Amino acid sequence: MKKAIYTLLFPLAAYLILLLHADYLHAVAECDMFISGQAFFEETLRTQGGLWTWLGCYLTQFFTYPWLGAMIIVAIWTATYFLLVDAFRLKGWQCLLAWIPVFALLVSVVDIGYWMYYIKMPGYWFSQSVSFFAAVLTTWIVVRLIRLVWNKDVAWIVFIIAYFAMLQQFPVFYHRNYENHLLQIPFIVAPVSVVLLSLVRLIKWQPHMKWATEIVTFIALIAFSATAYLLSFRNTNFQAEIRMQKAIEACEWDDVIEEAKAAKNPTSLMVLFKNIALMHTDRLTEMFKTNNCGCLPDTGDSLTVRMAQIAGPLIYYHFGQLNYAYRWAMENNVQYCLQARNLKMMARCAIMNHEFDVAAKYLTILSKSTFNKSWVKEHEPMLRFADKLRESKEYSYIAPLLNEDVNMLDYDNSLPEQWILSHYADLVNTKNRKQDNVALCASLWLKDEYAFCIQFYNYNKNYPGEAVPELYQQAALLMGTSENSPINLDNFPFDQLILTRFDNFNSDYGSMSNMGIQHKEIGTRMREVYGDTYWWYYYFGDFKAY
Amino acid sequence: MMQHTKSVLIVVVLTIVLIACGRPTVPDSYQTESRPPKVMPDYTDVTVPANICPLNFRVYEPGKQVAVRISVGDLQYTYGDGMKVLIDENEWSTLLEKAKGGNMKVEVFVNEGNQWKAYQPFSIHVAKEDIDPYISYRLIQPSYVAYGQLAIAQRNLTTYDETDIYNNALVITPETGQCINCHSYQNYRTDHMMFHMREGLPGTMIVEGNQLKKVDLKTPEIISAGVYPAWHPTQNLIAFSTNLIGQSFHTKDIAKVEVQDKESDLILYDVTKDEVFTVSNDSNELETFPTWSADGNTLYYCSAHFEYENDSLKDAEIINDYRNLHYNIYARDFNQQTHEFGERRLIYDAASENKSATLPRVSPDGKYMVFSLGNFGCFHVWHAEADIWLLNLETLEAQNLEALNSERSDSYPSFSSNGRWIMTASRRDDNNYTRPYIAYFDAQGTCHKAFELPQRDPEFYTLFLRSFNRPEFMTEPVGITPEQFAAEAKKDARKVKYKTAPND
Repeated sequence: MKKAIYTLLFPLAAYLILLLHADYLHAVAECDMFISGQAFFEETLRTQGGLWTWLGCYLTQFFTYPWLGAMIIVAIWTATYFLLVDAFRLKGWQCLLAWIPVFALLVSVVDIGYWMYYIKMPGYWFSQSVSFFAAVLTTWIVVRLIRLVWNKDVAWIVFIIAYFAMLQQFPVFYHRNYENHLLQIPFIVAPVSVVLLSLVRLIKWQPHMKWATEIVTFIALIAFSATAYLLSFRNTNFQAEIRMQKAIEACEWDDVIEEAKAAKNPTSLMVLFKNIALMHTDRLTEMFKTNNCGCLPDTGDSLTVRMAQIAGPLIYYHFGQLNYAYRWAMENNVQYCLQARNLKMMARCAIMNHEFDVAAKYLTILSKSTFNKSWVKEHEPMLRFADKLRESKEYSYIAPLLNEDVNMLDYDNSLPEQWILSHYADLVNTKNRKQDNVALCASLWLKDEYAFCIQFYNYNKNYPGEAVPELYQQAALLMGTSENSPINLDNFPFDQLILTRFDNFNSDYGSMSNMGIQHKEIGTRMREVYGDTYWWYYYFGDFKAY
Repeated sequence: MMQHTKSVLIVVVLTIVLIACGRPTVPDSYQTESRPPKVMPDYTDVTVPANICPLNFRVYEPGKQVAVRISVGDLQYTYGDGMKVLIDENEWSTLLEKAKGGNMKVEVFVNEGNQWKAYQPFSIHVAKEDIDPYISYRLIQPSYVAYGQLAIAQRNLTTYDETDIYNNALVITPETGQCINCHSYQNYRTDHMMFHMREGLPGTMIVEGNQLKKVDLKTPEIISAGVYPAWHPTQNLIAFSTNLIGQSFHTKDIAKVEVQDKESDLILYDVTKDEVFTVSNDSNELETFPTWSADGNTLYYCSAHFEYENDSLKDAEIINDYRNLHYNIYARDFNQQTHEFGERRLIYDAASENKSATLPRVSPDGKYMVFSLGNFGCFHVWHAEADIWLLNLETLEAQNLEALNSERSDSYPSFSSNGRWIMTASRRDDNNYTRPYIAYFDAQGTCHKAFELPQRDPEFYTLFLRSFNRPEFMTEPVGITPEQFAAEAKKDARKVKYKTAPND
């Protein structure tokens, strides 16, 4: 019974650690792709270690349901452990060492973080474990056979030779597309630990007291589990971004906004996601009432993250820029792994662009994966029935942004947020209220005074007699009344409350400035009172493009 | 009685064999449909060479099982695997042999549950003239700026066998990718061939017999290394364009991208001497896409007239004016002894019709030229309106090769070595992924309906996420192995020398 408990302790801990990263694991399934059929199999087999890649892709799909994917991978690790114990005839405390490669493989799955968008190895999350298991299994069979017919004492030597011979088939162990050497450590630890296991049998020491073995084992397993957890990538913004992407896919806008509100120091991507949610719920004028300052993501290492690669297609898509969304989905698929999320994006853009033949192609491919069939079933009728497209939830949000008449040739310099904001800030001939609001807010976001004035003028012309939202009044007070303003707001009926608050803002700012307080510190002090105003964003807010 | 038992036994055995082989039987009773079935690839009424591999296809009609009878006279075979038609290679060869110069009849029956439906039969015409046994192409995802794993592959047209000529996976590292492009052959042979490598381990790979060399064609006197190549048909010379290429992206147009040359010139590279000289570098002309006449006495190329107003705003000017870039086709005589070029002659004036002509290729008999005609620009693979046109080089009359073309982009045409087949890179399937289509071009100069390069699995093109770029005919496979190319790629490129043009 006790033995069973000790044996199950680490797999259970590994399972729990994986479930703590459930959002990440679900995203992993979207960042990979498996296509059933001969063509994908043959193409994958063309690459070195292709069989393990193919198996890895197949199994990675199961992270769509994190509990299921985690269960499968933990089962593989546990089986690996038992094979190692049996192959080396480990006993007592020695069994503990057979968990070392499993520990390394667990770390290799949960330490990736932002690298998950940049991995160039399809099926990475399972291919390592599957290939390691295959190496151990094959050599275990060899050893078993040798033990049956040959000198038992040389079996472990044969094991090591066979093991390394097998490893030659698995380039994944020594060929990773990473610049980060820390991430490579698990793949050194795993094979090296197996060599150590072969040496352990030379140590004849066994503790006299059984309870000492048990305590050592227990503490070591707890230490393994705690270390694996500590080495996992637990950046809260990273996890929030993943949840926000999932919520955007489901058009759950309130969830997106709540995630943004909960973040103390959100990334620019989170801010962008929040504003997409506000835009689609006609609350874009509240964008500065919530935190609109975005920072760069903390990747934990040397990786430089680009918004275009993490979520460029999704951002462009929700701003109605289908060509650019399609383009980045394609580029990312080519540059990194073939990803289900990119194929879905390309299918959606093609449907909205009425490019039905290529949309059908992508839907057919997606239908050949295990867990995307329902997504395909939902979108396939849109190819044949225009009504189905128009009735879709997404279409209702995006359609108002699609009806730009003029085609432009342009280039985004791999900075989607900058391009989108500039594009909308400079947009002339807006077609509807949604476009008007996006154009105005984009100019405010960029702090582009000239663009704001032009858009503000158009807004008032388009909606005469309507109450002007508080945000636009705040911005007009700041930008529209300056000497260089291209518009005259002398007779503009500002709300008295806004005028008073603006006076107070200027007065408070002036007082603190006169007291010699640094600009940044003034911003911090004024945030509590004026953090919901455009003025505060204008003077103190920052939005890091990446 | 004994005879009867024997017959029954034979029928039973044959039935078992047929069932085991999965060969369906054509139904005795069925409803008739007065139209041909929808099949993919569309092989209805196409003309094929007698040495082509089987034209497997899938039937896209309501139903779960298909029975297809292909017959030539009294020779007939039936096929059907679900809705797919997978033809036995030996039986196909027999059918082709018998149908040479004539037709095959294809009858399609679809089981819609309890009811069979027979569609109007269609024909596959078999030409007397064979096609070159090999083609090569670059396999590339139709991306824009990014690229990943790329291969230049060769395909045996008489079978389905495809092998890599070169694959950048052999040399790419996590730090450095490698773009490969513009494979080209001398007169359809592979003992004199080339392709470029860019970014990682850059250079132009040249094959001369069984010798390999990697050269760096960029010299200070020219604007770029060689880009679009054309081997002289007999001499060890390659004409190249040199191009400064840029890409910009449409916000609405489903073409999505516009690839433009900001500047482009022509050079000639002497493979033996490792020397280059400028053929044409008019600052108001964008010269590109060189190609030789079959006798090697004329160099054809495309050129667009474009005058920049402000040198520091070249990018903006050419992007803003992208719809006004119209390429014409010109020719210059070439003296094979002195390597001197004559004055340029206008061969096809596309600009006067507000059109743009690109990618010219001359037939082996020297009578015809094929080229791609679009509304503007030079990168017609992204232009849905682009079609293949035929120019009679004696009369200089041009005509649209309608039988070869589609509603979507058709570009990069080329003639087979016997001049009877024209291949094009077409996006007709889905407007995004380029596929090779081949049409019969008969001795009277008539083009027949094109067929898509056959694949073993009829669903291959649906599931395949790469384009077939620059399809080229070859009379033989490439003798150098991918590993030999990779080994040479890892060496430093040999610098070429620049010399003054013989005319100057």
